[in-house]
Amino acid sequence: MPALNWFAPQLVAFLEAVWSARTEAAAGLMAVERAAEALDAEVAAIVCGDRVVAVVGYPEGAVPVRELTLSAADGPHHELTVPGVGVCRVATVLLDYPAGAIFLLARAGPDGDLSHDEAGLLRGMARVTSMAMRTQRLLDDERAAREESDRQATENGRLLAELTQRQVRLTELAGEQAALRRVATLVAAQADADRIFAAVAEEAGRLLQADVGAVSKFGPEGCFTVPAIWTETGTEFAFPVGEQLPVDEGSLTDRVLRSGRASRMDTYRSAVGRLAELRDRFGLGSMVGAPIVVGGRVWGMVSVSLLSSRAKAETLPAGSEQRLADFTELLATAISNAEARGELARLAEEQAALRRVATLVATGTAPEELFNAVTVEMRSLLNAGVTSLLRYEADGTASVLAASSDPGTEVPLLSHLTLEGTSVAATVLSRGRTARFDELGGPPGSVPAVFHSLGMHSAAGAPIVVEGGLWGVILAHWQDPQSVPSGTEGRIAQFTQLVATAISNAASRAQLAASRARIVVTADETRRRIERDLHDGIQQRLVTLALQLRTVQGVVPPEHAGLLSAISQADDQLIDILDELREISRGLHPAILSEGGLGPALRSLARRASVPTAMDIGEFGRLSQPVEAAAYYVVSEALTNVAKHANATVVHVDLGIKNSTLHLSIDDDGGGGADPARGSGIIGLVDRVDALGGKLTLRSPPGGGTSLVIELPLEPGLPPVRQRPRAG
Amino acid sequence: MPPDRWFAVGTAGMSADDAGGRAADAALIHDDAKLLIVFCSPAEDLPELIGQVRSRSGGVPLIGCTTAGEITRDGPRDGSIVVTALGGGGFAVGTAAAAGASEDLRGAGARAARCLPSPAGHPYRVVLLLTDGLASDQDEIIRGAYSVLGAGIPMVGGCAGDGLKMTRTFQFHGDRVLTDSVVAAGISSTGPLGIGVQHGWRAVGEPMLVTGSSPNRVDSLDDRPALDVYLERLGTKPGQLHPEDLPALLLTHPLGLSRHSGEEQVRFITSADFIRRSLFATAQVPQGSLIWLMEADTSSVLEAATAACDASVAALGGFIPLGMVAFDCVARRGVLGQEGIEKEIHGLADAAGRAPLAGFYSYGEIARTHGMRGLHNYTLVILSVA
Repeated sequence: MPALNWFAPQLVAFLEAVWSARTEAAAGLMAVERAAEALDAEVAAIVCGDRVVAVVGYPEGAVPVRELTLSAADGPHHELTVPGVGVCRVATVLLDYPAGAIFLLARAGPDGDLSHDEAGLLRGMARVTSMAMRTQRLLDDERAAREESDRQATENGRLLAELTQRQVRLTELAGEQAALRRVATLVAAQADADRIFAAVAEEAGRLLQADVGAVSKFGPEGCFTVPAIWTETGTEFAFPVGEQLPVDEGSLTDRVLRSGRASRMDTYRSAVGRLAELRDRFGLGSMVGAPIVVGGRVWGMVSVSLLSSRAKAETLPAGSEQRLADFTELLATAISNAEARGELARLAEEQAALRRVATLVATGTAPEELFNAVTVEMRSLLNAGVTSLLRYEADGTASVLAASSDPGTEVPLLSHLTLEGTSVAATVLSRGRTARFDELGGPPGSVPAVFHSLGMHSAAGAPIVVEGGLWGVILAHWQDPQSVPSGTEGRIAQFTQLVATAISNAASRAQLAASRARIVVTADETRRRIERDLHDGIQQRLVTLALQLRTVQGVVPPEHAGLLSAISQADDQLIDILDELREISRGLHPAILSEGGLGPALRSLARRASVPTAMDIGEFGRLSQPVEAAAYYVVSEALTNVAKHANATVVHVDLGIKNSTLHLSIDDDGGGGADPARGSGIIGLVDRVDALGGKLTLRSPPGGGTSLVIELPLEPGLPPVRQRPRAG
Repeated sequence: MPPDRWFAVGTAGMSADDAGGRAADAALIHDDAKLLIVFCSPAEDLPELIGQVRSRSGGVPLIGCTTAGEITRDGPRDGSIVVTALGGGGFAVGTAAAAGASEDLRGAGARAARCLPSPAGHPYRVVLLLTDGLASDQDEIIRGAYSVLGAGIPMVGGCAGDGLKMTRTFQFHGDRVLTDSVVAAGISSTGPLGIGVQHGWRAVGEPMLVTGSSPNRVDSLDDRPALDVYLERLGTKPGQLHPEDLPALLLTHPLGLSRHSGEEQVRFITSADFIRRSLFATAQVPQGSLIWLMEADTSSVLEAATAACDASVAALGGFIPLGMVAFDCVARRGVLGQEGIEKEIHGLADAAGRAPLAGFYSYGEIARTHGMRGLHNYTLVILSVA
């Protein structure tokens, strides 16, 4: 089970149990018992100096006080022998209260050492225990004080004041506990980070009876954002949630960030710039902030403030810093968990999008389709208004190749847009790296003008670098000015790398296809030349020779029977050789294909086939020479294979044209089981079809006949890819 | 000369004359009995029945309780009395009873547990607890007992039943018939004592978060009325369900609590409140816990029985068991059916070899060997005595 699922509910249950105790001692005992139960430990104890405050796991009256105090002082990760159980592994945590006390846990068995999660839970439990025991101490004191006050009537007044003060503190503590539990329950229920921050802001504000409560998050480069803000109902307060604000020197934010401690500021008079503007707009008055420390780093701040519209002299009461710090510290774990989960979810989403795009790249999807997919994925991932992919042209302009936007917005795929004005596209081109802009502006016909006209006010982009050359740029645009999230450029760059790979792959594939096509064309031409040579040269001469032999045969006297027989034999052989040559030349490049076209050529193949072959050939004119040759050789090779291997009784050949593509299928009713990996005939066909940008599919289940389907584009189009010289 | 340690079981139908006496006669095979453990079905004249047993055993310490069915080598029974005797110089036994348990469950657990004698030369020890299965938070009883015994002494036992009437259960201590109490026997032995625990249930579907509960009551799951969520998971609704169909549904679909080790602890739902749409459980289902709906089938439950038996024998470290005591959840009867429980008990008898077997169908089972938690539901707990 994930740690969070297990951890938070356990801590909530522990908190409730320990908080139900009625005395300090009972709270201690409850704590050790519930910790032992939750962590399956044999022994749990709270040890303070040479005193055992609470313990469970030893027989009544047989607690080895000295051994336990020594063991606690030894620190974590050692062993303790428990009577009747044996050797246990020990874990310890220092308690804030009682001062110097140690929470000790001992567990037997092979998994005696606490796991990372369990150790985290123990630390959380120790913290809750300290708070509960401290509160119960106050309650115990109060009870004692009340008895004392009955006895000493003269001191009633003074004690009453003290009691009142303690009562107030008790109420506060109870409030803190309730607030903490509400937030912890949200974490346990796996609420998202924003909901938890909103709850923290509200609970902090209510707890300290302030007008405003807020959670701030420190960013890099001396900035902070406020992801959640709460105001007392009825207070108008349109604070810019999520906006990047500067951490001004001397401000409360600055003090908390630098010192890592809670701090206060009763006036915001010295604020300057944007903060001064916000102060004047909202009338911020007395303010207290406490750091949220996650993993040793000041992650953010919880702050509460009064509005200056209250009575002039009013400030947040003394001790507010400590109360807010106590509350915040306990929430740090919860916040870090929620934050980590949000980050994980975002990463998972991003990885999934990248994987989908990478799959498209790997399967050789057409560039246009891939570009569209990338803009769609990125827009959803970056929550952008418009995402687009632009190619830099040789004349210093840019063309929009793909874009994604809200269904209501149409992004025109304009070409040769100028790069004047302030735009990310221009900056990426001139500097060759990622860029962002918060204001867009430029003359009509320029890239920024196009996006500005779509209502976009901020942008970020990353270059597409193909084999060292700057090829284009991917842009993301947002409607709100200054709403580009930090790290956006890096996230875009991950996609640009995939796009660059795809472009580079497409170029390689185009080169490969062109090279194959050249080989096929060259081979076809060679065959045609040989066929012509055979037909016009050797064949002609052989026919002449045969005629001459017949002439000789006619003039030889009948008594030369031996000679006549020899001539007759030579004539027969000559006829055989001629037949053979005709056969060969037909196989090389049939004249009927060059002269009559695909239909007559295929019908002649069918007539000569040894297995009865039915042809269904659609109506169409002459096709390009490579397409006709490919189709002819496919049918020829397929019919040869059927005759040799298939044991079929009939073959169907269908040929037609649809959507500028030649569709050819050859089906037989034979034994199936044809394997393209064996037999170079089919491999040769695959090469030929591939070279023309076509597709060949073979289905041949054992016992189910063989079906060969070929699709050939009539105009073999190659992916348009150009290399641009390196820019800048 | 009698053996150093012996274990025997006697049984009789409760409708017969002097049933207690007959069962005791069969169990008292030697003169030096140290402890009698009595399991019987609820009846009007329990004091008389115990009197019959004690007319044979005299002042030998006695504990026991009423059941939701009895177990012997011959199979499961209703309306019978099963008397187990442990005897010989190899055993030293002390007993205790804590009445008025529901006023202070923790204190009752502690008082009952203070009964274990520790004579020299008896290194193997266990405390056998029999509690009122209708008392609210049984976990508190275990906590009280643990505070007295510590980690070194195992606990075993069960929660008394009343034949599924769910009105009143009884516990026996000496010649007293008690209710709402905890009785215990601390057993020290010269031979090993082994404990086996298995349930055979498994979690189904997604976990639910307990968002509202008090001891013995689950008010809300995932922030919605607990009964609605529970029935929804079973594919029905409060309005569609006949109240008389509910017990069978509850019996076969308990809740599983998650533990750090990943293994679930099963919680039996006893009834439901159709007005407040909440559920009642035999033990606490803490707020903030993650729980699962559990299910089982005959084969997984039967396999668990054999596994519990084997584990208890394995814990004897090579010694042959003299006898076994079984604490078997009554809900298992509901799942296995009459034929299934016959099979289960015959499987146990086979695993026990020639050793005698006694036990009862309980409203909750106790077994604590590691860590602090000791209360189980829907579980078979076996104590093997060597």
